[in-house]
Amino acid sequence: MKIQALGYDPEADELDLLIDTDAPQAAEAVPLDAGVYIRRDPDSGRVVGAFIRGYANFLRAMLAEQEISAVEAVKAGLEKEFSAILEWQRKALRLSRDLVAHLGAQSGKDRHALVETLLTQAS
Amino acid sequence: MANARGPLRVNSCATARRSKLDRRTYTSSLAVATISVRSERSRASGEVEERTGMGDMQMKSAVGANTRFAPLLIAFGYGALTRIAPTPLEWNGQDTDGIECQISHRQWQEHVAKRPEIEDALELTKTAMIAAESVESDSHRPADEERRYFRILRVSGQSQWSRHFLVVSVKYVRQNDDKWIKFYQSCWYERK
Repeated sequence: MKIQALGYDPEADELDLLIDTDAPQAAEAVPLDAGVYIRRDPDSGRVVGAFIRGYANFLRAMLAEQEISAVEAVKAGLEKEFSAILEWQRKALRLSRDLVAHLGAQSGKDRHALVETLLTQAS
Repeated sequence: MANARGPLRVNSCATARRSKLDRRTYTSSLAVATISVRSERSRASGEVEERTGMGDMQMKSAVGANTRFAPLLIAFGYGALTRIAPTPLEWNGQDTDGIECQISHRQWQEHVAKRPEIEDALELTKTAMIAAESVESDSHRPADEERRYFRILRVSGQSQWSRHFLVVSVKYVRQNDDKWIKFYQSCWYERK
């Protein structure tokens, strides 16, 4: 399952994700657990994305490695997608930690350069 | 409105250069801690939120520009503590209780880019803000405060979305003159 961050809106505290697509598709939203909403094609049911409401709280829970209920995800038959989103977030946080640890030993100028290089290459 | 993916990335490094790098961000490496710090600071200023509804987290410039790396950037605290200037409105009006309603042009356009199904839903969003079919607390946003609270509004969808509700999240903010303003936050379709 290919998951990409599409955009974070700090005013709404929502993170939008693309799932198995490279461009946003029209979709209905299915509320699951922990503020995660799956976006799927209303006719075919194909999952095309997700958004996370209350992303700050979601991140807090992930950082604390709290157990996140998947009750609604199971009910909706979207457990696989829900788990994939949690795993995607864990990976992003691991990457963040690695980078922060790496950057911590460098001067401010080098930190800037490294982050910008990473962003450029990753783009 | 630029595409939510392509052109925005061009600005990412320039934006990052302008960002203030807070040492606490690196030492903690906790995204939420960073968010909290910034949230408190911006709320302390008060002015932005009251005027534009954009006061909760002032990371728009950096995070918004680096759309694909939002979680990483949030973890880095790669958001400038700059104030967001009041932006043009997509719409403003009054609800049935006489409360002023506002939809930010930038926010609406950004949401349309990320959620194409709402492209034709502006009028319905206005309807929800003016006279919702139902109003409920928003469990994914902060608890009610004296001068601010969040709600979820619902109206029935139309045409191909007639089996759905348009769900609109809004924020009410009390101004210095004690007048309340209802700010659009986000919207999506949910099956009835």
